[in-house]
Amino acid sequence: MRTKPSSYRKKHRLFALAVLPICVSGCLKPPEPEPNVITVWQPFGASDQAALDKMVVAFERSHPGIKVKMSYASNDLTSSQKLFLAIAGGVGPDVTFVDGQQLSEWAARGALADLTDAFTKSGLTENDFWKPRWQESTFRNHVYALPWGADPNFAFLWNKDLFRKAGLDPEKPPRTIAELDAACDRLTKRSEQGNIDILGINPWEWEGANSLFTWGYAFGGNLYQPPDAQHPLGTVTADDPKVVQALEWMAKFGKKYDVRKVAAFTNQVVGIGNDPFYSGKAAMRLLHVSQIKDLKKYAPTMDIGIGLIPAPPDGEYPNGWIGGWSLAVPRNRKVRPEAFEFIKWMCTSKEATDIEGIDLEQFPAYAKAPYFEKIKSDPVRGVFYKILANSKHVRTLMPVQGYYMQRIGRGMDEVLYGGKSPAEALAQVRLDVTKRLNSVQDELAHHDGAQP
Amino acid sequence: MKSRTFTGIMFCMPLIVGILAFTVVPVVASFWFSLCNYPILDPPKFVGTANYVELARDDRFWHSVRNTFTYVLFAIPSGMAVGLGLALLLNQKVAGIKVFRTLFFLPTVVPLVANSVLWIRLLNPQQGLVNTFLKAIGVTDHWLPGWITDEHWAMPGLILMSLWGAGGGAVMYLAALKDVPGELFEAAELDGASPVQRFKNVTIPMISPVLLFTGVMGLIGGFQEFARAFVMTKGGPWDSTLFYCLHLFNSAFTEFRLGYASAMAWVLFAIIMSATIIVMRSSMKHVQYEQ
Repeated sequence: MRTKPSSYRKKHRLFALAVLPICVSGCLKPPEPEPNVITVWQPFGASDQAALDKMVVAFERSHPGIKVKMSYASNDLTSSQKLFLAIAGGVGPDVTFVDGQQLSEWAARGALADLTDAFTKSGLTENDFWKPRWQESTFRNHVYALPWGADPNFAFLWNKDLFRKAGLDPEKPPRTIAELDAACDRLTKRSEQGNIDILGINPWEWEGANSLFTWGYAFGGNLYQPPDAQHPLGTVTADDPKVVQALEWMAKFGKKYDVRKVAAFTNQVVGIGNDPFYSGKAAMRLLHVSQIKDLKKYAPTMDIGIGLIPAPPDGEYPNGWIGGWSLAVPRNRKVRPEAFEFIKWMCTSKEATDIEGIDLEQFPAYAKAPYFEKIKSDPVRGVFYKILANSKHVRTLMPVQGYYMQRIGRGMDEVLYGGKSPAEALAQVRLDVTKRLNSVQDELAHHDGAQP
Repeated sequence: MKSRTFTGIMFCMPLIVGILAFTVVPVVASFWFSLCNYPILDPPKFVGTANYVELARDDRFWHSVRNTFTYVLFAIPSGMAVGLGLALLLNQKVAGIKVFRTLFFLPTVVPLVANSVLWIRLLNPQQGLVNTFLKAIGVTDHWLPGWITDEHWAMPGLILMSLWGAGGGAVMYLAALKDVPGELFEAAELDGASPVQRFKNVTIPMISPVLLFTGVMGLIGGFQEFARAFVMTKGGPWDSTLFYCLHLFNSAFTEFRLGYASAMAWVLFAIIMSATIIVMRSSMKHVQYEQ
C-alpha cells in the first residue's frame, strides 16, 4: 500500500487543528458589542416591518454615528423563548420589546436591566406617559422600561346593516348588558340544525383571560389590588363578586348559544380576511386599535358603528384597560447611552410617535405626542382616544401574570365547557395564583436578603 | 500509524464536539436540572426529588399523560393499518401506480404547520369537508362530530388528522411487500390457502420486521406529539388535547420552570423506553427475520 507523503499528512493535521478552534470558539465567549451599533429585537410580523424600518432610518438620520440592527424575536405574550435563552447565554440584544403585562414578571426574574438612573437623568417624568402604561414599566419602584405603545382595549364595533336587518336602530348600539343580550337575541341567526349562521357577539373572542379582564372591568370588578404593606406584590382578586358576575353572564351566554357551536362558528376563521365580522357574519365585536387597518382593508365599504363596550348600570362606563409594548434592556447588557437614547427617541420623539400612529396605526404611550391632536376628533380613532384618556386599568402588575392568564383561561374552560360554577372556578384561580405569587415573593425576599 | 489516527480523530472532531456539546452535555444537564429549581435566568438550585414528587401530585400532568396514551393507543395502530392498506393497494399491478404512490406520499412532505392550518378548515364542524362528507353519506346533523371545537371530539379529530401522514409508512410497507418472494405465495396457493390466509400467514410474517420498526418509531413519535396541538388547539378545548410535550413546553417556556420541565422530560424518556422494551419483548415471537 502506498503511503501518503509526510507533508500531505502534515497539511491535513494542520487543517484539522485549524478547523477545531473555529468550531468551538463560538461556544466559549459571547461576542463584544460593536461600538456605536445597537441591536434591537422586535416581535412584530412582516406587515409592520416597513414602518419599523422607517423608524430605524429616521433614528440613524437624526443620530449620525449610531447604527441600529433590528431583528425579529417571537414573543407570543406568554413567552419569548429566544430572548430568555439569549439572556441566559449572555448574548441578548441591547434593546428588546417587552409587553406591558410581562414586565413585572421579567423584572422579578432578573431578565431586565434597571433603567432608573438613565431615566432620572433623561429629563423625562412619569407624567409624560399615559398612567396605566407607566405603571406597567416599573416594578417595586424601579424603572425597567419606557412605555412605547398604548393599546386602549377595546372599542365596541357593530355592523349597521345587520342591525337594520334585525329591526334594530343602527344608530343606537346597546349601552347595557341587558340591551346587549336583547340585541344578540335579535341578531343571532341559527340554522335548523342549530348551527350559527350569524352571531350577535362572541364574548370570549379575545382568548379566555383577556375577555375576562375586559368584561370584568366593564362589570365594575377588579382582578388585582395594588401592593400594600401586607402584600408587597399585590393581591389576586380573581373572584371579586363583579368579576364573578361577568363570568356568570358569559356562562349564561355560552349555555344559550352553545359554547361548542360558537367555537365551531369562530373556528372557520383562517386568515384575517375571513374574520366573521368582516364577512358580515358577526354583528358586533371588540376591536383592537391595531385592527383599524384591517377594517379598512377587509371591510372598506361596510357600514359600521364604533363606540364603547356596554356595561351593566352598576358597572363601569366608559370602560377598558390599557396594554402595549415597552422598550427595555436585557440584564446581561449594560445600559449603553446610545441604547437608552434609541429607547427614548422611539418612545417620545415626534418622528417615532408619528410613524407609530400613522404607519403602524397604533397609539404611542407618550401622552404628549403631537399625533393625538390629529386624531382626537377622528370618528374611529377618537373613540380609542376616549378609552385611553379615561381608563385607569391594566391587566395586572404582578410577577405571575403569565400563569394568571393561563389559569384564568383554564378556569373559564371549566365554567363554559365543564359547567363549574363561576364563583367556585374563580376562587380556585385566586388560590392557585396567590400560591404562585407567594413563592415569587419568598424568592424575592431571599434574593433581597442576599444583596449586600 | 499513530499520527494517522490522530489526524482522523481531528477530522472527526467537529462531529465529536457537536455530539458532546449538543447531545451528551444537554442530556446529562437536563437530568441535573430535573433535580433543581431552575427558572432559566437564575442558576439552578438543588431541590432533590421535589420536581418528581410535584409531578406525581399534579393533576394536569396526569391529564396530559392520559391524553398522550389515548393518542398513542389509537393513532399508531390506525396509522399502521391505513399505511398497510395503502401499500397493499399500491402493490397491485395497475396503470399509473407511480402517480398514486407519489400522491399518497405527498402529505408527508407538507410541513406540519401548513398541514395543521389546512386541517383546521377540513375539521371545522360547520363548513369543513370532513363533516360535509359525513353529511353526504347520511350522517344526520345531530350526530355530526364537533371535531376540534368540542372537548369530546378534539382528540379523535387529531387522531384522524394523523392518518394524513400514513403515506410515509405505506412507502416502507410497499418496499417490504416487494421483497416478499413470489414463490411463497405460489406455494401457499398450491396448498390451497385463501387470500386472507396468504395475507395472514405469508405477507404479515414476511413484513413483520418493517411493521415492528414503524410501530416502534410511531410509538416514539406519538409520545412526543406536540406541533398539531400547539398550532391547532393550544391544548384545548378544556385541556382535551393537552399532550405531554405541550404541557412540558408550557412549563418550561411559559412558566419558566425548567427544572420541572426537565423532570417531565426524564419521565417521558422512561415511559418511551419502557413502552419500546415492552413492544420489542412482546413482539419477539411474532417478528420473523430472514435467515
